[in-house]
Amino acid sequence: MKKPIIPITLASLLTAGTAFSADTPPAGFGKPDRVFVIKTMAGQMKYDQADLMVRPGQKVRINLKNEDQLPHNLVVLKEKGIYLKVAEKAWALGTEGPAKNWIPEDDRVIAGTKMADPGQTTSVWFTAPAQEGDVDFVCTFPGHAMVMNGKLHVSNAPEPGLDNLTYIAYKGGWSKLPDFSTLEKAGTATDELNDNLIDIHAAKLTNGFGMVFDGRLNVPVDGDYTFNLGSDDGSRVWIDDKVIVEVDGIHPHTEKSGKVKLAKGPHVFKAAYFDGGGQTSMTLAWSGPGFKDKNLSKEKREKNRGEQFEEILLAPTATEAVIYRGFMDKAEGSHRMIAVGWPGGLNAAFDQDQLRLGLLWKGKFFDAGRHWIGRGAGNQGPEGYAVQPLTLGENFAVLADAAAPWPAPKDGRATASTFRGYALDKNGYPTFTYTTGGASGVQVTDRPEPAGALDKGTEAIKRTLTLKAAQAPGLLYFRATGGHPVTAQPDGSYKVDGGLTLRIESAERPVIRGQELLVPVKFENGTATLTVTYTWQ
Amino acid sequence: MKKTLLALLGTAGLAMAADSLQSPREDEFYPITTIATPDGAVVEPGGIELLDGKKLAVGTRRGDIWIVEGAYENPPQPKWTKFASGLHEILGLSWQDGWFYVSHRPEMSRVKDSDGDGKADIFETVCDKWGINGDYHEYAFGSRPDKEGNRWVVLCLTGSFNSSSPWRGWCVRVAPDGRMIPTCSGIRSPGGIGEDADGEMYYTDNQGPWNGSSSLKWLKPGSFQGHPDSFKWYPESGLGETPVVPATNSRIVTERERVKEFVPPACILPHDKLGHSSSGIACDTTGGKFGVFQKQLFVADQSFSNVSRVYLETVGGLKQGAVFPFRWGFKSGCVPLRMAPDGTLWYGGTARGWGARGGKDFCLERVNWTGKVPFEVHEMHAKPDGFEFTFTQPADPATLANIASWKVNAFCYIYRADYGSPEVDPVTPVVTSVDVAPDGKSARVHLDKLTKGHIHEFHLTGVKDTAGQPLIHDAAYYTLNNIPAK
Repeated sequence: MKKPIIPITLASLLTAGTAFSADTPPAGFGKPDRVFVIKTMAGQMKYDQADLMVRPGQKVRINLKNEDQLPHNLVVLKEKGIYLKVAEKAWALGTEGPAKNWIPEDDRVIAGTKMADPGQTTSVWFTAPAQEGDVDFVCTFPGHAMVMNGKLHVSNAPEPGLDNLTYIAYKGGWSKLPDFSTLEKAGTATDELNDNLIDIHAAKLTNGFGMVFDGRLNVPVDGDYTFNLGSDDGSRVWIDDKVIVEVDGIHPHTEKSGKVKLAKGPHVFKAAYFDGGGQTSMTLAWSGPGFKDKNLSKEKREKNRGEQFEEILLAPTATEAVIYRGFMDKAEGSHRMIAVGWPGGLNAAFDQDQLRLGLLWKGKFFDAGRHWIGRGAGNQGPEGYAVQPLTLGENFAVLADAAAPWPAPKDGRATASTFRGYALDKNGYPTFTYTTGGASGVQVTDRPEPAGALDKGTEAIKRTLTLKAAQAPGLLYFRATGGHPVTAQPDGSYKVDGGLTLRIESAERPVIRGQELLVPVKFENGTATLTVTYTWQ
Repeated sequence: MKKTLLALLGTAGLAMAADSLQSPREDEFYPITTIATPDGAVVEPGGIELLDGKKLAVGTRRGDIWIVEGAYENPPQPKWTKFASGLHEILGLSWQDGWFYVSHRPEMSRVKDSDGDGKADIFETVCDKWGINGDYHEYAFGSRPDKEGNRWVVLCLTGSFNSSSPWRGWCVRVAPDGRMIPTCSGIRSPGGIGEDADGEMYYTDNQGPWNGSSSLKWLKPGSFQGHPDSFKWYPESGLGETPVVPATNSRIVTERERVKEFVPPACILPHDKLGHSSSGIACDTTGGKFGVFQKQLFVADQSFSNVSRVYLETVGGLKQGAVFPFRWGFKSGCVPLRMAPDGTLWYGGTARGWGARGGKDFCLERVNWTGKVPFEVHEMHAKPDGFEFTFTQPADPATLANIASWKVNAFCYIYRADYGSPEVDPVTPVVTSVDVAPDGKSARVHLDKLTKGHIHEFHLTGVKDTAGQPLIHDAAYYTLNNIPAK
């Protein structure tokens, strides 16, 4: 087997290869008319753009920037709908594949990049087909083509999106979008935006500035179009002088969408933005017949910080709770979170690492898209609102004396409590069990559940804790909160700075110790019970 | 003139390379049947368990456990019921005394339906003593119980390069009482775990740092498996002094002399030839219901969506042996592989995150034996000056005796901290003679040299059966950890 390999390599060099892949432009290619930068998406086996548009006969360069952990290439084909057939031919190259950059000898191949290893960038130069129509591009590395492909649209039609885009910049201090037409522009800060994308940083102004963008929006076909506008601080978009969407005022990056029916052809486009100081952002993307979330701004519309995943919303049914175990954001370094969404719109996450109730929130439960698409990298925050993180550290501890410090977690995990699991009732509501108090082996059952009603404004989570101990465990405490000022209220509740109110029912009175609220646990016949009701905004 | 010759050689060589690993005749002996999954449901198998009454349990990467009835039928009449959900990427499932034992990222759990309504309602933590820090690579592949009732868990490194949380890069045993027993260091990125017929445990590790190619590794308790970042947890392991750190850009055969705990891969599955990403392991303990490969191991690949066959022997205290192509063409990349006592080989496929041949995002498939014995190499044994091959059917003795029937080369990989390795140190052993058994069922191949630590690659291109037909698969790759004295 080894012997023939040398001739094969030589033969393949002679018969294939060089015309198809190179990291320098073909001789005499000249300057490309269009340059695209396509990135591979880490952990997702996808290109970040699946639709490119070029004019017939244009000279095109595509730079493939590989941000994934696997090698990829990008091969442009002469027809559409053939990417799998050509890729399968590439896979059949077998051990000869790497030497040929997995590009098969096939008349349907226009050109391809070399294999880009993780972190590398490779390029392909080619002349677009002379006829209008769509053609495929694809990664021909074995196993990738099914999901890693896209379309090159060869067309003389105006490219959907903005053109003739210009901006005018303003300096000032506003709390709402002003009428810019009455203001003087900032110095000479006005220019064309060559890439026809909205860019609030084009004038390089910071802390108290405004931008107005004027241009033309090319609409590909008659239909309904949705514009997603997000900004920090305020912004507004007009089409044909009508306001389509706005997010005015001072706020962190906030997104809204507007829908409009548009006829095929050019429309007058205008957008305005202001920054009241500090953080800045503006993203605009549109969706319409046949395309979704195409960016009209240089800053890309992003859901979930950075990567975009399709939403897979998990929700309880009308009667049954839903459980999700996964890597959660806002969990403060705990990685074993058991989240529960109850019917009625209240949610919580129990922290298995630290044996504590870790998070409370209202509204929607959890979007599993990040974890269930691609490899599942990264933490995902709760989907709803009013996310309330609770105090870190195990909830129960035996203290040597009333002044002893609360035990700190070691490597993010509880030191004197051990998780045992949970049981679900008929409605899927969990009761967590664990032991605490170190050697004394106190058994705890911990059942949080919704109380009150979200639509009446009386919503709360009530937690019932039942403890059993064969022998008295010493000074066992429940720590209801710690780390924020806590004050006793006339109605018997406790207010914690940051919007949390606790109501505690226990045999012994809770004790405020600095910023901690400690509840001494008193056993009778080996059993103790306490309840904690959490309300928060 | 020269050009033409080279091109001709090239074409012939290419055809041979592609055809000799896969056979269009595989269906005659081992057809694949696909079990339809429920409409609209995403069932990405990470663990498969066999239940009484010809039922099957499938644990998924989305954290569900499904029960499947009717999957053994011809044609399959699958009825799927969701038994449990909310677990965190299941990569190991076993049933014992009314409980499902589940290996998933955060822990080994056991799960039960206590009120008999068909849905799990008790989720107990058996062991959660290993670390996770939120990296998607921190998988936990779990075995079925061994004869002492321990379940073996191989813990992938953080990001597949480093051990950033406790016990990452270790194989631990979880005892029935929940104790965690650190067992082997040096794990990188496992793809599956399973026992052989003698109860020895193996796992597959994937090409990457300190792994030139994917391979099948023997989890001998106390052993080091190759990736040294796991050594940081050694002092707490109870296994004694931390081993010597291996040198990078070396060879396994060199470093195992320095690192006395180093157990080299029992069988390397050469990268790009038989796969890219070794995964599930199943042993044929069916007593002949799956054909003539009794007690051999079947090892799958997540990227190539295939199953290879491994014959192992013990030489000089180490496991070593040969891998042969077996079955190609599954619909998605394998993670779990499970042999049922009736001779059904269950195959769970998922392409998510790493892509796989086959074209489906996920699948449940099975392989059954038609009863017809393929003409294959049956076993391959190392000898002091060559190898002995046995065959499933009598071969034509004249073709065995012909030295030109046997194509041999040998190579190894660089053992290094960098990702993967090319094939290096090529050697071309020469067949000096072949002793043929009169019944054509075995042949002893004498070579002019053997290279310790090398993979010896054979293509039995000229071997024919008595009807003049070639082998179904003529390739064999033997990992020669030790050369036997006799």
